[in-house]
Amino acid sequence: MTFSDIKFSDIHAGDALPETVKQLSQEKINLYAEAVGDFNPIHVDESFAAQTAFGGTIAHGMLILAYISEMMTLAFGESWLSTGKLAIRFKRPARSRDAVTISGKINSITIESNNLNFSCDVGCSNQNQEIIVDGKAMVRIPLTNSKGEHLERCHRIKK
Amino acid sequence: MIKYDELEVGYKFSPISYELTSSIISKYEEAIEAHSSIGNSIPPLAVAAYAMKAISQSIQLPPGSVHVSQELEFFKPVAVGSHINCQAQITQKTKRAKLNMMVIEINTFDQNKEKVLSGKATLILTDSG
Repeated sequence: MTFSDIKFSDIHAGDALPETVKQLSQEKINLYAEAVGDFNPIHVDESFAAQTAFGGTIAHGMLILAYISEMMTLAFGESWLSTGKLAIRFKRPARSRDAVTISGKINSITIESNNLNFSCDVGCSNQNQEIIVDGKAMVRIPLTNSKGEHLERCHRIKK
Repeated sequence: MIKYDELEVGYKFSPISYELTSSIISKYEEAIEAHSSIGNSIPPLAVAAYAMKAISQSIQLPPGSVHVSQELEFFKPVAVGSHINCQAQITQKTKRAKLNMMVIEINTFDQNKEKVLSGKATLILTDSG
């Protein structure tokens, strides 16, 4: 991974955020369940999940959100970790064989109190272009550093 | 462990503490296929995920509960090895037909008592009968 600088003047409303695709599998869902200790049977017990309205196992919502947060970190670097806000709704479950596309775009850029405020539309969809998650993300980037020096660029991560 | 039916709006969970060790975070990053680590900072969703784990260990929810919405706000990067303290409260609980809805609000702080994350999770739970 490398870091690159991008000029604020080169970022515009309507710009796409770095899109990624994650291929889910039951093994990946199980790995997440083990990592965070969430063994809700709707995620890990295929026979239980088959009897529910979902008809099969589904990924943890927090796993899907982690993918969105990853995209925001790639786009906005450390500013996402210190000023990020996320508000989303789960529209339909992510199933264990889904290919999940994580995408977003900058909706607006405003200047307030010496910060650039980015408001973004974010979401995830499956291989059938059905929306799994949609919502808003906001992040604030200061226009001056701790020494009061004017900043013209922000860090962006390149995979 | 408190049962779902015994939870009331305003219920405050006992304060929860956990350490985000390097082995925990390595496992988490592998599970989410993380490619965006910044220095020693952990993916911010890890703080929320482990808070939800700790909360779920203190309540007995019906199997098959699912997340319907989530709000999160991050206040500062969290370093690997941080000790996190979490306060959580039930702020909504409603029942419609056989579906129960519950909202849990969390606030998390690091070892310096500085807030690192707040959040609001809305869960739908099937009727426990």
